[in-house]
Amino acid sequence: MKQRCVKPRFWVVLVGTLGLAVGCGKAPSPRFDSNLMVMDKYDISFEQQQDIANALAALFGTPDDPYVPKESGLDKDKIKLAAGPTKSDKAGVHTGLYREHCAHCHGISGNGMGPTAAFLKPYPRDYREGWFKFKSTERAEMPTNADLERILRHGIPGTSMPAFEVALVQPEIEALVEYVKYLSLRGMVEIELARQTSEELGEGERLPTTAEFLVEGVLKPQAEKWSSAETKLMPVAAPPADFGSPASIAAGKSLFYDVNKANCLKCHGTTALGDGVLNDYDQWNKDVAEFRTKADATLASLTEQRGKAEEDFATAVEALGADSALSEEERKQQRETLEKDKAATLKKLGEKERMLPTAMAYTLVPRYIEPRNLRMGVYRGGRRPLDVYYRIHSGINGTPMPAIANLVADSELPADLSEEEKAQRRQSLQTQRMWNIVDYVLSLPYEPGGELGADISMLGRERN
Amino acid sequence: MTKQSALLAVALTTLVACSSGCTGRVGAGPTADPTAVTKLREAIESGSSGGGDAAEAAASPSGTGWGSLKGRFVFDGTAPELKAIESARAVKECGDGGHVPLDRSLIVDPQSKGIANVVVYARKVSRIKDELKEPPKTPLVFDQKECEFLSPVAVAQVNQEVLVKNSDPFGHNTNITGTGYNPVIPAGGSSVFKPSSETAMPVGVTCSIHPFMKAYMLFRANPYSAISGADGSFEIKDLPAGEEVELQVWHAHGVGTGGGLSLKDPALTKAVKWDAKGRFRIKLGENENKDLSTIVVPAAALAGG
Ligand code: HEC
Ligand code: HEC
Repeated sequence: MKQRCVKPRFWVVLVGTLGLAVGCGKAPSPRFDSNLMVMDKYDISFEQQQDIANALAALFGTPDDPYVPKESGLDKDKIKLAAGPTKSDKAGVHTGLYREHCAHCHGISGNGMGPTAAFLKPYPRDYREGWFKFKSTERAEMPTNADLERILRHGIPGTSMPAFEVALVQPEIEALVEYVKYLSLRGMVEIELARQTSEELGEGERLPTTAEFLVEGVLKPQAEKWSSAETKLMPVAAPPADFGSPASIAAGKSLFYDVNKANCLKCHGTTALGDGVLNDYDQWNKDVAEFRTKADATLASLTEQRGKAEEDFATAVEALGADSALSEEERKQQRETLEKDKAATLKKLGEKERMLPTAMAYTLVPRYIEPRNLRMGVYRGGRRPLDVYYRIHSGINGTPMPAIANLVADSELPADLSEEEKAQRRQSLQTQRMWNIVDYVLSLPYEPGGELGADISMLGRERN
Repeated sequence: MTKQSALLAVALTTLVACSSGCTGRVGAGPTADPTAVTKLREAIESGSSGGGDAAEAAASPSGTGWGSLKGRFVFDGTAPELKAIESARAVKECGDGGHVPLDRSLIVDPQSKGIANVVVYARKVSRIKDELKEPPKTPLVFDQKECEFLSPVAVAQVNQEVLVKNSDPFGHNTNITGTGYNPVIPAGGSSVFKPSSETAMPVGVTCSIHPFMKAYMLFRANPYSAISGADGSFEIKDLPAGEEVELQVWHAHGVGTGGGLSLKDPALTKAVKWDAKGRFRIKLGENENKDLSTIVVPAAALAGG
C-alpha cells in the first residue's frame, strides 16, 4: 500500500528532474521573472500580466538583449557591457559583468533572489522597488551615481556585499552602476504598470499600448526619480569647531539617551548594543511577511470561497425570481450579470490557486531587522563622520531607522528674535546637535564595553 | 525506502544545481509575446501611437452645477467588540499596568450598527467648485496618545499641511508608507508633513518604535472625500453634477484590492454599478441631494487585513 503511494510521485520528480537536467545542458537564455508578489497585491489577472510582460519586454528587452528607450535617461552602451552571459571578445572587451559578479546574490532580475541569497543575512537587496539605504540624498530619493559607485567600491561592511574596488576597473564599475539603475527602473516600471492596471483602468479595460502611455505616462515619471537624484541631496553644514572634543561627545551622549530628544536608545537599547526593538521588519521583509500570511489564508480558504460564490449566486437568483417588480427581460439580464460575476470570481480564484505557490517560492522567509549594535565600530554605510551624519539626518530608507527629530525646543529660542532669525537659529542649533550625536556614535566603540576597548586616543585616527 | 530517498536527494540536488545554473528556466510569470513586443517597440521608437486604446485623457466636463451625496454604512450582524492589542502589553510604557491600546481598525456602533471610518472619495473629477480649489489653509492634525493614533484613518489634500503630533510623555516615530516621511517625534513634540502627490488608496501609517501601532492616510488632489462618522454616515458636498463621477469606497478591512469595500448587493450593483474594487458611479442632478440611504455591509466584505 505504502509502495503504491510513494512510487508515482517519485517517478514524477525523477523524470521531471531529468527533463530539467537535459534542458540545462542547452543553457537556455535566462529571462526576467515577474514580480508575482506585486501581481497578487494588485489582483492582476493572467491576461493583464501578459500585457504587462509585453510592455516590459518592449521597454527593457531581455537579460541577453537589453534595450532602453532614450527617455529612460540610461546609457545603452554601459548596460550592454554589464548585461548578457559572461565572455571576453577578441579585442579583450569583457562583457556579462553583472552575471559574473552580482547575479548569484542579487538575481538575474535584481529581485535579491540569486541562488545564494537564502543563506545570507541580511538578504541581498531587491532593487525593484527602488529603495536604497546608503546614500547622500533625502530619505525616499534615489541614490546618485557617486553613491552607488561608492557602494560597489567599498561594499557594505558587516554584510556579504563585497567590495569590488580591486576586482574591477572604473569603466566596469560605471557599467555595473548603470545596470543596477536599469534593473531598478525596470522593477519600478513593472510595479507602476501593475498599480495603474489596478487603480486607473476600469473594469475590463486593457493596458493602453501607445508610446504616449508607456513612455510619457509610465516610464518617464519613474526615470525622472533617477535623473533628478543629484538635485535631492541632503543639506549638510560643516561640523562645528569643537567636533571631536569631549564636550561635543558628552552633548551627543545626552541627546542620544534623552527620550524627549533624539530617543536613539528606544531601538539601539540603553547600552547601544542594538537590543531595543527586536520584532520589527524592514520594508522588504514586511511586504513578504504580509504577502505570505495573506497567500496562506487565500489558499486555505479556496474551497470555502468557491462554495460561497455558488451560494451567493443561488441566493441572488432566488431573490430575482421572487422580485415581482421585474419584467421578464430585466430578470434575464440580471441573471446574466450574476452569472458573469460568478464566473469572474471563480476564474480569479483559479488563477490565485495557480499563481500563489510560485509567488511564495519566489520569496525568502521573512526576518526581523536588528537595530545596529553601535559598539562594534562597523558602519554599513561608511564610517566617515559625514556618512554617519547622513544616516542620522534622514534615517535609513526602507528600514525602521527614522529621520532625526526636531532637537530644538521653542523655549530655547530667544523670544525677541524675528521669525526668520528664529528659523536660522533653530537650524544652526539642530545641525550642531546632529554633529554632536555623530561624535557620540563614533566614540561608542571606544567607550568601556565597546569592541575596540577604552583607548580614547584612537579617536584621533583618521577615519576615511 | 532508503534507496528511494537517496535517489530523491540526488534528484533534488540536480534540481537545485540546475535551477541555479540556468536561472529563469522555471521562470515566474508569463513570457512576453514576441509579436506584441515588436509592435510595442515600434510604437515606442517612433513615439507615435501603436494602435489600441488612446492614453486616458483627463475627463472633460460635460455637466454643470453641483450636487451632494450621502449615505450610511451599516454592519450586518452583531457589532464586534474592540480588543486590546496583545503585543502592546509587552511594551512597558504602552501596556504595562495602565491602559492597553485597543485595535480600532473596525469600529461598529452597537446601537445603530453604523460603521465608522469608511472612506468615500471621488477618483477623478472634471471640475472643482472655485471655493474648494485651494487645499485647506488649516493643517490636518494627526495625533497619537497612549500608543494609539487618534484617527484610525485621515484624509489630507495634496499640499495641505499635516501636523503630526505626539501627545505622549515618551517618543514616537511616524512612518507614512511610500512617502519617505519617517521622523522621530519627541514627547509632546510635533512635525509637519506636506503630501506632494496623491495616493489612489489610503496608505499605512506606522510607528517603528511601537510596531503594533497602525493607522491610514489618504492624500487626494481633489477635495471630494468623506470619512464615515460613528453612526456610519457620510456626506460629500458640491460634487460636479450632470456628469458621471466615479467614487471609491475603502475600509481598513475591505476585501477588495487595496482595501476596497467590495459589495455584492444586487440592488447597489444595479443602481450605481458598485463593483468588486469598491467603486461606484453616480450622476447627480444640479442641486440634487442624493441619499444612498442605508448601505448594508456583510461581515464577509470586511474580512480583509
Ligand atoms: C555575496 C553576495 C553579494 C554579491 C556578490 C553582491 N552583493 Fe550587492 N548586496 C548584498 C547584500 C547582502 C546587500 C544588502 C546589504 C544591506 O541591506 O545592508 C547588498 C546591497 C547592494 C546594493 C544596495 C546599496 C544600498 O545603498 O542600499 C547595491 C546597489 C548592490 N548591492 C550592488 C551590487 C552589485 C552591482 C554587485 C556586483 C558587482 C553586487 N552587489 C554583488 C550582497 C551581495
Ligand atoms: C525605530 C528604531 C530606531 C531608532 C529610534 C533609531 N535607530 Fe538607528 N537603526 C535602527 C535600525 C533597524 C538600524 C539598522 C538598519 C539596517 O541594518 O539597514 C539602525 C542603524 C543605525 C546605524 C548604523 C548605520 C550604518 O551605516 O551601519 C547608526 C549609526 C544608527 N542607527 C544611529 C542611530 C541614532 C544616532 C539614533 C537616534 C538619533 C537612532 N539610530 C535611532 C533603528 C533605529
